[in-house]
Amino acid sequence: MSTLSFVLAVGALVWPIIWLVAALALPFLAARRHLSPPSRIELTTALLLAPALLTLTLLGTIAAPSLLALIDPSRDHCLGHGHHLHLCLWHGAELPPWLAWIGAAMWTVTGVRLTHAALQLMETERLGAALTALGHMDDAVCVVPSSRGLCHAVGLLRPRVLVSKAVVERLAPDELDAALAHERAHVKHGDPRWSAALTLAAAISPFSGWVMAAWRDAVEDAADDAAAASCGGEAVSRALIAVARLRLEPAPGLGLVQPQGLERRVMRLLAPRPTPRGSRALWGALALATLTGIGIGWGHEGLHHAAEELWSALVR
Amino acid sequence: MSHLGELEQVVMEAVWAHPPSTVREIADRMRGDADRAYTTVMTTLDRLHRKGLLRREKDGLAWRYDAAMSRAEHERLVADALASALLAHGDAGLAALVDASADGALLDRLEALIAARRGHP
Repeated sequence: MSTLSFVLAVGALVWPIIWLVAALALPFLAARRHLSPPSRIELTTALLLAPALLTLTLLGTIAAPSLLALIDPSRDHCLGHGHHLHLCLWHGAELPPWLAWIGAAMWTVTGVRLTHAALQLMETERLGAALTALGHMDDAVCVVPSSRGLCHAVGLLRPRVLVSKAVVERLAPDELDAALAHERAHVKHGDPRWSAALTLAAAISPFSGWVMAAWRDAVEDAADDAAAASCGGEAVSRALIAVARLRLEPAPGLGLVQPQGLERRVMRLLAPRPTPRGSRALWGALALATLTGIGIGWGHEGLHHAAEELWSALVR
Repeated sequence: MSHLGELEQVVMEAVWAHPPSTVREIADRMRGDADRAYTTVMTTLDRLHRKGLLRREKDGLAWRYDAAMSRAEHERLVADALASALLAHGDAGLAALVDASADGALLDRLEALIAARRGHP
């Protein structure tokens, strides 16, 4: 019961903070319009990862003293201070019913979203593996004997390009080269893995749909630019249109209809100057900053006590 | 069109290799790891027949099974079903060349734009 009250209290405390942070970060998304694709990838990745990493930081630092007390009972600080309420895994937390309900609701929403995201990723992996088993693999490109307009980069453990026989047969040679160059750019940069990681991060963060869509646009633009650098923007444009035409042919339940996305990409490719793709150093910096935050919280219990102060203010 | 189970795949391979065949002939060809009881092979053949993957006709007292489609046709149908599922599934964990189905008029317009640019560089 003590542990349950702790979990519910943490849910009521942490998730609203994450929602607030995510809402405050949302206006930064508007800045992407003036950025190159690599910078947009970094910005959107940071906006998607920050709430998830902040969640882990808060959960880690709030639970840290209780977990440390398992190893070293002298670290159990529950009896050591009386000026604010305690958030303790073993001794529980003072929990008014209305906050218990908020905590339960927050954990439920997050749990459902995470489970849905994980199931989606598992299904993508299953479908990708089944298609790969039917296809012929050559140099990380698997040609699948399908008449659908399939041209995807997939694979968490083994990133690869899945391209249907219909795409291979229907595209002109320079269009096919452009399409494969685009997908190879995704594989090279590990985009399927990033997509999976960010899908899970987005499940934790509210308002993530817009940010995820902006990340996808940026990643596609970057792959377009990589393909345009080797094959020319016009060939990439024609490849996009040819595959889109194949997708028009009868196939039940195709993806979201966003024709403006295709038009935007073609217009962009036909304009002069593909932007070279930059590094993703910001992501490493962000991860480092969060790990540092966890370390500080773990070592000095500062965040833990701050959370307890906030909890006291809420409950009393 | 669903993926075949392991035993169904083995049985289909046997039928594709030697069409048309009786249950006894197929069971006799399944040796080693693939060895199965006669009744198991019969049940599997009957299930594949009900799925529309096998045709059959009487040969005396026994049924003689033949594949309803070639292995290549079957693989194309399975691949089409899987590809459609992947296209409809959403974009978690993957990157698609084109993530949307546009209408034909837009594609015509974009093609005309490319042609016009080619004519007037």
